[in-house]
Amino acid sequence: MGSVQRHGPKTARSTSRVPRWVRLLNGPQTLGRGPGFWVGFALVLGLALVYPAFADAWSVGNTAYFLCWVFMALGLSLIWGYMGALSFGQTAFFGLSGYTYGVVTINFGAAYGMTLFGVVLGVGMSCLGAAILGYILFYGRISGVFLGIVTLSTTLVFTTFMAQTAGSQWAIGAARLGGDNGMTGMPPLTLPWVGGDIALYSGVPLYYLLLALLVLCYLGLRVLVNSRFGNVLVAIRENPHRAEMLGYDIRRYQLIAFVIGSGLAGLSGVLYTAWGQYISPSNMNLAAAALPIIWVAVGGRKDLTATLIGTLAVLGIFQNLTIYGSYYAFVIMGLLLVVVVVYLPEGLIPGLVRLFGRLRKGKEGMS
Amino acid sequence: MTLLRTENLYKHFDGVKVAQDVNFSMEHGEIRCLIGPNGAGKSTFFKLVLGEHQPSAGKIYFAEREITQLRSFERVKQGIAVKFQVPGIFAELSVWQNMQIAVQNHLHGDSMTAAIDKALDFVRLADKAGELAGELSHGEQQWLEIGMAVSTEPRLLLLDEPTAGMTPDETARTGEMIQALNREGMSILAVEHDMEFVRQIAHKVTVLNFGEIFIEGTINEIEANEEVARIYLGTADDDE
Repeated sequence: MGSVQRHGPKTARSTSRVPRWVRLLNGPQTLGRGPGFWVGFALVLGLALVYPAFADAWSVGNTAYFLCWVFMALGLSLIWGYMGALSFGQTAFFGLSGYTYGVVTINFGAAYGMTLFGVVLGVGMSCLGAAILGYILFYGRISGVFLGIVTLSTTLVFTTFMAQTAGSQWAIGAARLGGDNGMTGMPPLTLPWVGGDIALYSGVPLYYLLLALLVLCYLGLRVLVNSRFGNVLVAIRENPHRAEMLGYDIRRYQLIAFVIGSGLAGLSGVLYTAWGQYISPSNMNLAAAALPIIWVAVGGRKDLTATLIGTLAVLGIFQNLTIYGSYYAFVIMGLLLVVVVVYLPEGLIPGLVRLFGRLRKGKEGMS
Repeated sequence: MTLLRTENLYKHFDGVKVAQDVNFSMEHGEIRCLIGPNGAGKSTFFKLVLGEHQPSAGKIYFAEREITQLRSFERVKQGIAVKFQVPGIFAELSVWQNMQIAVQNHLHGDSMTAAIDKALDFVRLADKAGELAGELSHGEQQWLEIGMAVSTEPRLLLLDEPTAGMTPDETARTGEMIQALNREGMSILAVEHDMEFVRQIAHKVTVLNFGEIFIEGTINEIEANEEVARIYLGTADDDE
């Protein structure tokens, strides 16, 4: 109740002649529709494209670091915001894929597109792990707070296990797992090219690759959540009992969405590992597992655009806090989460959209 | 043709018998009302038919096919739909989106839009298609849910207290809707306490008591039965 109203009878009927893909990009499950939004989108994208020309190398690399995390947040938005299942498992899949990338690339090197194979295998391992865990969760009818507990427990068990792999016996081929110190020495993403491989160290080329991936993921997810599949996800969030009684096997939809969302966390994991050439249990621990929840909740979990903006904003704030007041960064993040949950449970951006909507209505009423 | 049939249906919860040897049957095209005092097993019977509870013993047949082991969503696909007592809608979505989710499982494109328009006209919510479902009145939410259930094109519509919380005017309109659906060939099984409403719609009435079928017949036969009056209708002296 009280959420942003996103659909009207006129839009439903008058769009029947609009191409399907346009309708899916502009569907009711996403804030921001119509020419105004897309002009703004093009402007922001244009700015993002020219940004490296006006920024120093460190800033571009740092922005690339921010972009690495957004995929995980978008995945959580799908699982939690759209489907209504609060998962603390994102960082487990992040770590799983990161370690997988490390094991593949440390053992087989970067030549012949092996780093790309590492990316695919890393994301694939996350999807496989999510499929196993998701099957237990959803086909076992685990929901609500218990789903949060099980996913958090899984993350913590995996983190604890990886933290005790310091000994030399904990190695897969040449790749030592490294315990608390983590795994290092993997190569960056390397694209096979005619004149010689291109290694994407933390710089402009990696930034552009991440930006392209992000745009693709964002648009793809917009289409997904506005499709028939997305409608069912939202129905499950709102009233799973009703959704089932309309003939949907909700467990199947929940499992698929969980795998997609966790796969996106896996994508973040491999990109982060390739960016920093490092992955450790600290990327998955309790504090790390809570951060995606904060990013998504603050921006607005029920909308992809709100999640995207909110995540980048909170990442920026968090980084500055850790630089200038490191000890208090997590405390302030926790407070931010509490304030948002209490006063703006839908998130900052949907809250602002609703506020502007009321102001506009008020002005129209007065005139 | 028999549409719904149960055979020696039992359901026990920790030794408490909530359905006992229920041999129920209703014909295609019928409007049947289930009545009985609180705790008689009406809701349990609904849940058994819907697959929300598994029977302790016995079998359930729909259109002569056994559905006892089918999951709820599979029973819906066989042609059973339900309207719950507490409106089961998607409160944060628009009325249109609610209907879309109900219809998109079997229709697409223009035919889906036409079906939604038709259903919204039928439940008198066409002018509220863009409103949030959670902001409709209680009666309108009940109608929306009926519209959603009907949009799945069921052969059997289960209605759990369809007029609960409605004004007399809304109750009368709901009765008209149910009769219109029945004229189009839909069979209806309703749990209802409002005897005036039962008189308006029921072809036949089944009285449940202590999880058993106590008696079945027309509304006149049921109302004329003194035992029914004693256990449920409250017109006879319990001390006799």
